[in-house]
Amino acid sequence: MQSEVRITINTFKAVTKAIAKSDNLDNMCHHLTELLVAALGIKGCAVYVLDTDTKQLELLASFGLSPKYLTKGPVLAKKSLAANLEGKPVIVRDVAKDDNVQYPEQAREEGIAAILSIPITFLDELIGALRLYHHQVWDVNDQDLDSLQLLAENVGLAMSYTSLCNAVYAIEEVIQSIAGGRCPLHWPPGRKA
Amino acid sequence: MALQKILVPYNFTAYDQKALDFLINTYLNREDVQITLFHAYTPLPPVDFEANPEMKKMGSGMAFLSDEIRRKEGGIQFTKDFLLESGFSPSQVGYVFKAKEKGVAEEIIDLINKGHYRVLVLSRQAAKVNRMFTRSVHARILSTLKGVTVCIPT
Repeated sequence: MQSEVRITINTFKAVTKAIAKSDNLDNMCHHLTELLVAALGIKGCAVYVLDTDTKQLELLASFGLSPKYLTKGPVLAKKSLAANLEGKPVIVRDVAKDDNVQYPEQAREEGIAAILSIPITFLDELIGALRLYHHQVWDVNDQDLDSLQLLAENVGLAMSYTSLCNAVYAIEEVIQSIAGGRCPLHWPPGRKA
Repeated sequence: MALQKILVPYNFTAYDQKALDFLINTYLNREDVQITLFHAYTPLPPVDFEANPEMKKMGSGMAFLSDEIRRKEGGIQFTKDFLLESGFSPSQVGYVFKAKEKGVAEEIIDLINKGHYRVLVLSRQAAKVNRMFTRSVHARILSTLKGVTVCIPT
């Protein structure tokens, strides 16, 4: 039986507004993980980015998980909830009865009973994963799953925008070092000086 | 002898432990050093938890965020105690624990400038893909600071 809807339209609005107000990706992802843990009443949440060379997931932000669990070892996309590579969410409703988990023993020690992994994509390319960890067996509500997929898409957009901004800032730094600070960059709109 | 002020950004990772080992191996038994541990935490999300009953319910679940911040401050205090137990004197070790108001690099640069720190001990930076999205803290600090010795234990 599915759990009750936890992400209502009001909750969704609040989470979306809060992450939209964050002025950098680090804060945005931290706020997202905190708010999702509160909204869903789960144990923890993490945002990972995919290293396309090594196919490893790198931690970007997390909440509710111990440093020991977060440093358990490399998170390999192929071994860890591999369906995300095809852009599909993975629901491990009971970690004890599922072979999809790369580190089941560490999950048990951490008190994780269920994991939901939502792919973060941009232009149909996998760029990361939003992972939610429950302390009990979890039958994820379909509406909550839809909401989480929408949030993950927003995160994907923000991540892509941020990497573009960072590329521009890097170019700006080179130009400023050559021009001696005489060439201010007025981009993106609203950027604080 | 002039006091050498050392700033150590601390983020509870294995790399940060290496920074502590470096401090102990390099500066223990030197009376002219003063160490400040620094952690800037992400402030609570800007959400109106009184807006409606659903948000109130969610807000009650947010209490643990404050607990988490308190736990982190406890962690910084624990780290300070670790340095004291290692042989530094209480007057040599302090910490700054504050909400992040800007980027981590900018927080560190501000503190160095205001506190007149002469040495910065940085941990190894985040994994490489992260830097595409969050910009390299090291690069921003190194391109901005002047007259500060930066140590990066590997």
